[in-house]
Amino acid sequence: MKWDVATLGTVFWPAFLGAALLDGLVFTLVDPATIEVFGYQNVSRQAAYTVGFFTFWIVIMAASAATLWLHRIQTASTTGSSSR
Amino acid sequence: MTMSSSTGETKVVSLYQSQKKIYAKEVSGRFNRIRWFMVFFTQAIFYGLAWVPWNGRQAVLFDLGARKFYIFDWVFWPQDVLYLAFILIVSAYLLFFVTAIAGRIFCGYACPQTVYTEIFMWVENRFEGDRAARMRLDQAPMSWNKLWRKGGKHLSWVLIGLWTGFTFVGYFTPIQTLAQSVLTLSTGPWETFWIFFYGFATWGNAGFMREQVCKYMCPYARFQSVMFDRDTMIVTYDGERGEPRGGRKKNVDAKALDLGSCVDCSLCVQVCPTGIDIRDGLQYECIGCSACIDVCDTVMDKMNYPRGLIRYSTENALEQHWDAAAIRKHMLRPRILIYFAVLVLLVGGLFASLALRNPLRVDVIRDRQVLAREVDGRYIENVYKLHVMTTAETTQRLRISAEGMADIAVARGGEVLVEPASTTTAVLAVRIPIDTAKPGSHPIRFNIQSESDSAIRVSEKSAFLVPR
Repeated sequence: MKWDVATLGTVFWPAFLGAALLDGLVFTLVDPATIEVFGYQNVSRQAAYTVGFFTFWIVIMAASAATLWLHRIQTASTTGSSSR
Repeated sequence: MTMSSSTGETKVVSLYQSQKKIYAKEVSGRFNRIRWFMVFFTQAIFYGLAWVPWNGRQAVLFDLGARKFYIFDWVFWPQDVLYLAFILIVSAYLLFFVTAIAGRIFCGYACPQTVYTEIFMWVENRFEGDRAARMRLDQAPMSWNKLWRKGGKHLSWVLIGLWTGFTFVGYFTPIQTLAQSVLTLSTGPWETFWIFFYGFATWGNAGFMREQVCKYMCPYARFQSVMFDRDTMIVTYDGERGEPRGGRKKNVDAKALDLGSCVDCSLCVQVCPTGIDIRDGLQYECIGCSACIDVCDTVMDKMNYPRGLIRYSTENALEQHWDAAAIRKHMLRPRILIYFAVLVLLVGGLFASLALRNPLRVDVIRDRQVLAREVDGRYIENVYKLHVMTTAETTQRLRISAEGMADIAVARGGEVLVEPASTTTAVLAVRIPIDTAKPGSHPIRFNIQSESDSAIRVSEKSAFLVPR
């Protein structure tokens, strides 16, 4: 399948919005200054917000891309067999 | 997508057309003037509001480092997230309401994607010339002329992008301090990252992605169609009047040639930022920018035909030949009235709730480490932890009293000082004379009252423990 700009865009953008929402929600509930990451206590808030945002974005993008890919394979195999 | 060809072979066909670069022609006219007004209006707010002072601080600041949001007189804590969620719902609802009446007016005039594309295209036109010159330049081999034109364009784009990124970050960290650290090249790593990231996104989206964002990436562009009906304002081509289209000399009688008003000059296609032909009818790519209306009106003027071959109208109006008054009459349909009523309720509720918001919030937690204890052989004492939070922007001296049991009194920590818009914790000791209450838990109530402002007060429930 072709991963052109238009296809990648459909993966990037909704995932971006989702990540922004999730980042806002998670860090509203949790103050990064009060958490401990691998025993490291001085987590800077800005760092946590940023790393959190990109982690969410990457994970959501990966899930969206996987869905898109599986869906295309499925569509391709069903239309392929029915037309033969 | 897989398709079978006539030879029985299976070949893969992309769901999307391969991207052709769109060279939109510059346009002038009344809708273009409105769009430029909106560009200046929205950007004056975006670039300017970050610098407006209020109560000795930035008027609008989403201070992520301090976990406090300031919007003029309002201060929001993370606990107030519901208000922000509510504001987002109101904004979304406003968008639905406007869309149902006027179609994609937001897309065409106020969406940041449109606004920045408009600014970036203006820069592009200054450096590379009009549509034909730009096409020639892209075809031409590299030369000094091409280098400085392309280089100048990108330099300007990058500068606009960086300024936009800086302003964006300036809404999340105080912009005055940010400006100083930018000037001394001492911004923190995360601020630096976000300035460049947002600058890069502006440059990429407004310089390169442009209409593709609207066509392929934007969810709103797709789901707004459910808010459309046959009375929604859209950019329409009056096919009945325009067809059959065809070229002709000025001042010839179109009727004699059996031609409609469309002179088939293709200017409406050339100015279209998404590269569609509006004469093919309503298409999802149309962002309602009405560049085609402006350019068609200039052609109609030249031909001495009445304006409005392409115009804002509704599907119903076009079919039934309604005039402007009839269109306006159909605007007030049940759907719009219901949207409007809900919108008024939401906005009213939001402001009422904000106005009635208590600037003081207190959590009382009984200290579970220290159980009730006997003091001086005369009192039973309980210790509490007070968590005080205020959105008032002046320093508050709070007096705390207890009630609910006979002779109950605050022994220590009865006075708390809270800085403007801040939180503080205090330890509070409460006593009752010994043997005045049965062993067990007794409900009590704390009254927290500001000394300077009688309106700032709050009452909190708790429990007093008497040991056996």
